[in-house]
Amino acid sequence: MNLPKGSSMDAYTDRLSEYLDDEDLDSLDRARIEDHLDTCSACRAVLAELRDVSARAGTLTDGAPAADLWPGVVARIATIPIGRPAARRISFTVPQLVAASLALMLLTGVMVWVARIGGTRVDIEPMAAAPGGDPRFTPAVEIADFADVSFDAAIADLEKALAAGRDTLDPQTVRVLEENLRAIDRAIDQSRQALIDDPANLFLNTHLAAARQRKLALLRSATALATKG
Amino acid sequence: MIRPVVATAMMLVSMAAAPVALAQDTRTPRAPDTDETVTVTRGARLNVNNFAGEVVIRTWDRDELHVVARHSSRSKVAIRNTPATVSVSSSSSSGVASVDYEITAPAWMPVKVDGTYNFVNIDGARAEVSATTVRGDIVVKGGTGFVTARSIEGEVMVEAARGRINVASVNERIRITGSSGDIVAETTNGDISLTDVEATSVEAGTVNGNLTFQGSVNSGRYRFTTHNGNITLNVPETASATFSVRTYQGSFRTNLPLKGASPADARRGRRVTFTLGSGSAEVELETFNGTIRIQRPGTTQSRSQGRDREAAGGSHRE
Repeated sequence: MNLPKGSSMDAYTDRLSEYLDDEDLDSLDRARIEDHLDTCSACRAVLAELRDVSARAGTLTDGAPAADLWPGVVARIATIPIGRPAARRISFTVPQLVAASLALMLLTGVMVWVARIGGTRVDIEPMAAAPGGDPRFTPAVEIADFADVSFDAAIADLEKALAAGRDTLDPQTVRVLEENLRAIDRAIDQSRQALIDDPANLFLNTHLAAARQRKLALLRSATALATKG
Repeated sequence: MIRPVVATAMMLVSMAAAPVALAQDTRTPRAPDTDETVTVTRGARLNVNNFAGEVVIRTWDRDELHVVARHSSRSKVAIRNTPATVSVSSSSSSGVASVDYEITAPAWMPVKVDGTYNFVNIDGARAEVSATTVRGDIVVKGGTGFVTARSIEGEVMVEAARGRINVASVNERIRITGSSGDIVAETTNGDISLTDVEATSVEAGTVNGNLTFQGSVNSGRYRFTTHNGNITLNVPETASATFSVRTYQGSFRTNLPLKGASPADARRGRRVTFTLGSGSAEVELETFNGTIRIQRPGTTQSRSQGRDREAAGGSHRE
């Protein structure tokens, strides 16, 4: 790229190495650099330093490294065994395979029958520490964490969008929507409170999740309404 | 004793007032501002877009659309008729138009009504129906295929619909009667009532409200959920279903010969399963705070738990 007329000093100093090595410079740039050197003592000093470095580099000779690491690396690679140990082979006769298939089919059928026709299915109560029991056999109970970062973020975004667009909605409609969102929040709070006492309760966990989804759905509808204007 | 003069005066006044009163009682509707009939192409769909007012749609067997509208002189109704769609809309020099429509459409014509402050009444459609509004009740009688009715501040009532029925409100109740197919009904603050329903699947949910179902349950999947409210299923003894019952702060009652564990086990969210008949249909009933009842049609609830009492042990008969 040619040096434009009136370039800054940095533009010239960046090209001094090429000037010194006589590389990639066309006659126009070379002429401009030479004109600049006539008037710029700083660039002349840089050029002199570059000449000095180039001269000293030319006097250096190649030498072998003080230590060669390669022989040690080669020696260690040679000690690693190659190939996998022979696999143990298990085989069945055809009658054995047929018998195994029949047994599997029978077992599957029995399991399906029990699942469909079998008796009452009652959730097993979660295990809890028995008072005075052997602490070695008492499982630790962890309080469930009901914070769902992605859910809370989605709710916050929708609430923000709704707040921004609420002036486009009829005030009565806004009141109705807020009242219903509060109703869902109460349901969420009640589920959460119950979960504090009963954190492993499957019903409460799914019920809480469903209430959250309902809140998201209502917020989406309300936001769509507000942005539709 | 009234003097003859006074009596005569009273009679004359009454005679003079009578015609005025009669005129008021007749309530003659105001003459329409728009009255237009267009021939429509078989297969076309009707789209009505009305910001505010009433939209009443009836049907007939002609391939014509008759639009009658009442509106202010500053509003204008436009009917755009193409082979695919007939659009009815309005505009107003004052910004928004409030129009009351009475439309008679072919029964075969799919109908769609959109608006913000609309009361919608669609009767006699034998095709798809879709009605949405923000404020206003929706009443749909008929409809086949996809039947959709959504309001935020309004009741939704669907009757004699067949197909995929999807109804929603936010702040009011939902009633579905005499309908069949797959039903989805959701509201937040309101009851949901399904009566004389033959559904292959039901998904009904509310937050603050009761759920009531009366219909056949012999196959398919049914799910009823509420947070604060009771769930009452009225099913005949000949029904065939497996009921999964869950309530956290409520109770379970039945007067049907259900096989299963004690209803007293249905507490604190435990899922308790009962079977009626061969258990073909799958029915899930869940409430956080409320009573779940599975009972014979016609059962009346009494506070003293006389007729409808909680069964104990393995027996569920009254």
